[in-house]
Amino acid sequence: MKKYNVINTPVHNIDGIAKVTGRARYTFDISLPHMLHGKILRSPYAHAKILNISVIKAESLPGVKAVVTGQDTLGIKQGIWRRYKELCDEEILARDKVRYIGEPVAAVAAIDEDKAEEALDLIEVEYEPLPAVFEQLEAIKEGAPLIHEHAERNINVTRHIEWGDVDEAFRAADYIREDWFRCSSQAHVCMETHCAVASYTPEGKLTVYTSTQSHYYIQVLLAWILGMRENDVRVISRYTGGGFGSKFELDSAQFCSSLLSMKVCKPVKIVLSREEEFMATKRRTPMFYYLRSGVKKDGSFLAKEARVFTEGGAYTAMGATALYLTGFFQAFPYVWPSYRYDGYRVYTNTAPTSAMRGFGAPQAIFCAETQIDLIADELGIDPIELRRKNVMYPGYEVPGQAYIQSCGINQCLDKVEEWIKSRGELPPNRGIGIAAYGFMSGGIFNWFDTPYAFSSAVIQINIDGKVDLYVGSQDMGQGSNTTMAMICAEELGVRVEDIRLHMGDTENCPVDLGAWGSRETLMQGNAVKMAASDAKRQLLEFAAAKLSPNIVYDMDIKDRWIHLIARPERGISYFDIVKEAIRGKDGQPIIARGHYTPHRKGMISPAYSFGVQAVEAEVDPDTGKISLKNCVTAHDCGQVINPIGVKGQLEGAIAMAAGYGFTEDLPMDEGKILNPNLVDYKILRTTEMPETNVFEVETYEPEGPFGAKEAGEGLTNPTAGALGNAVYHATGVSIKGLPITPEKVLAALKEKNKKKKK
Amino acid sequence: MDLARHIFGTGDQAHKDWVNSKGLNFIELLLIQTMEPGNKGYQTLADLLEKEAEKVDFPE
Amino acid sequence: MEKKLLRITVNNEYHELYIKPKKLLVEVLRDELGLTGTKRGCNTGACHACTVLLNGESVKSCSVLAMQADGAQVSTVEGLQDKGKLSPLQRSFLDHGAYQCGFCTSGMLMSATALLNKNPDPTKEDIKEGIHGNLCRCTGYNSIIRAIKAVAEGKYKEDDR
Repeated sequence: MKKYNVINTPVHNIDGIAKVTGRARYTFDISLPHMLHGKILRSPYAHAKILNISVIKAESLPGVKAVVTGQDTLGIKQGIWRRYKELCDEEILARDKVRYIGEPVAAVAAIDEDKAEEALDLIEVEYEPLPAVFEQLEAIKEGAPLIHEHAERNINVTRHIEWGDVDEAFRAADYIREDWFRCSSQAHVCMETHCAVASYTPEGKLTVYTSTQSHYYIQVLLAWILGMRENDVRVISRYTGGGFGSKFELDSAQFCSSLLSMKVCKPVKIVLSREEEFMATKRRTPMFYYLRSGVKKDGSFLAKEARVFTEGGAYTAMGATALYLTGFFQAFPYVWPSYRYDGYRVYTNTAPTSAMRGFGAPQAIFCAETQIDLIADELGIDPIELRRKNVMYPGYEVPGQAYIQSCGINQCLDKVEEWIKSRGELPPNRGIGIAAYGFMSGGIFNWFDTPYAFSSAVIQINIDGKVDLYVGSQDMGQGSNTTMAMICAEELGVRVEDIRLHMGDTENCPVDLGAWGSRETLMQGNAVKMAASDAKRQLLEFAAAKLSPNIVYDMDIKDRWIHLIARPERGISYFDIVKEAIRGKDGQPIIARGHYTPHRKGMISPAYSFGVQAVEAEVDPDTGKISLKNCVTAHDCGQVINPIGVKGQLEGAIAMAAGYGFTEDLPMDEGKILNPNLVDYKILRTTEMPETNVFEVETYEPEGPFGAKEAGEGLTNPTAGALGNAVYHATGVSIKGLPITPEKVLAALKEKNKKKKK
Repeated sequence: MDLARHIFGTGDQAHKDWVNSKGLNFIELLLIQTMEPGNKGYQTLADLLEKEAEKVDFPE
Repeated sequence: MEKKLLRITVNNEYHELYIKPKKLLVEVLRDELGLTGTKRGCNTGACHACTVLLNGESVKSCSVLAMQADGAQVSTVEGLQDKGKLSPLQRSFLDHGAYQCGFCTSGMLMSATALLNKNPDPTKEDIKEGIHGNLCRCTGYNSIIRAIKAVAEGKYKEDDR
């Protein structure tokens, strides 16, 4: 594979020194002069009318400077699916009705947090409780309480995907099986909770420091809901302490702090407590899944039918996208000649369900891969062989949906098979399970309805050769800052230390839609590459005058050396040409621009990553406890840009996805989350992480910068499925509900032994 | 049966309204089809369609 | 509530502060002394993001009253580097990419410092136990363990630069 100067070399994260010296200032750390502290009063009812709110007592408490309720807002129902007005259904600060436990009804700003808390207790809210419904199959029934007036049977969104003749294909199948699954919710558990510092000044401008994955979305949504001009709102987010899908929609911290600040013209800081974070922020979409698959007895896939009912929670949020993507990725990464998917998102009186790393695909892949292993078993075919027979290939077109260009899944299967063979005979009570996936590198559909390019970049080269790179992308830990600096350095022919990156500020940065759906490397990367290419071209024009080659494009820049490609020893220093170029442009610094919007690339994404993961797990037959021993992943992310970054993303993805598979859950009682703290909600700790091994399968993706595709999100898709299959192979029981807890394993084993005895 | 599958497959408002106007309930049938093994939802709709077909007069 | 005098040495600098007795150590470090490197991820002492060294022992600064540190020596992440020279652990973290969003990193570094002070030659299991209380959502821990192991194996001598 191609060798690059910067790309695919071990580079220190450009924010590294700030982070390891504790100097990185997150929104959590921001303090402004005369700043007040805010707290939010939240509904204790899952479904109730708000009859009256009295704030007089709270306002009179010494130290309290402002109190706001829904009556202080413009009453605008906002939503991130701006293209469809009926999906814009969330006021954030409720006015007439509350629809989930934890929904904000009032907010207070005071001189310190303790005073603000005290004031919350003095706010008198008169509720009229309404009957509530908490589960999607209950909420869709005739006569269930109506959560939104416009949504009959509480149906929020429906989605349908179909190709081929499913019914014909089922008739031709030798073997058909139906399975039902329950996929659970999951909390993002960012180490930095949602927080914002809003400062409204007498100039009529609002500045909001916030922990976000998309400062652009927050800017636009805030301006909309506050009735302000978009560019009178400034959103700043230099460091974000984790996002994972929870931080690109407008949240209560941002909205309430802005409202409070506007009332008193002072900065107001709101930091959600960990309990609020669990209770009242968005979470992974739980799904009830029906899958029916028909195959030939030689294992060829013929037809698949999927029906999904998702628990929507109280508002649309990004749930509409999760609904579509779960149906789309249900068919990945295989060639299904015919497929039909019907998805229904149903409102319930629970915290809204939305986007979380994987976006509906981890749920889909868990169900699909569990069923595939059962099919393999039934037909007597090796699980790898069955998959190999049916996987996608470069050039495959998912009918009417997507065109797959690079696809290294076959090589991934080979690598994993090799590893499994090398394990030989396993110790007792252990099993190895595999799962295969494919995932998108950024989404195509413009549901936010933005007129801007999906990503932009601006470059300015200064007299000393330092390159100012302005991007709109947001680094929430996934490393996009470093990735962009590397792409710029590679394309322009300089070093990472020559790049000075500007990001995280709507006032100074060009628009990028944000860090979600795995779009930054491909989309912002392409924009950066285009800008760098333009800057290089401008420099080469001046170099041409000096070096007099036959044609301009016979030259290139590598490691600060501008040279003739054919005769690299003939060249001139980058620094010298920069000086020439600036003089030549009337003393103006070199400015270049780049942008990227996918056009005519199918319905979903310009490119897809692929991978296969194997999990080796040990199951204690007496307690049902699962212990992860090994996790091996072979994945294809096209060209690796930042190898240290990719490895980190893989290991982090495994921890998160394994948690989804067997330790994390949000059990509720009448809409109330029972474990809103970090002791009872169990994310993986050091001792639960397995040994991880990764094999890079290199392909070249024409759509991506230098052939790169996504890595961080696709890798959360397979682990739950692989884990489930490992448990199946270790114990003989297939658990179809997440998380796979010891209780479920024991119950299933008991059931199995009972059947054996009969 | 094929027509029943087609109606479920398209699932748009016009089809839903037609089913609902005939005394059945589109959502209920879908729930039955999703939650119970076998083809009950489709079968129920197919039976209805057969009955309805008999009522239609085709011009000669 | 009457304020009390707190005498505390943080990162080898002596401070005298008047604080409310119920103030937590983490609040004094962050709000009074402006040392925001130490973070908070919860209110229940469960995440260990607030880990600092108190007289050499690692403690959760959210679970310690500031007055309990009266007369004591406290080390925070800001004290690891020396006039811009990074400590071996910090350099190892950089090389291994042992952080992503960075919010848990201060706590990790302090727990690791305490671990290596006590046990300069830990096994991988010892390291896992040593930082077991520190939660991280981004890295999956393995890069952090590799970084600490590398320091323990002597790959980052103090005088190397």
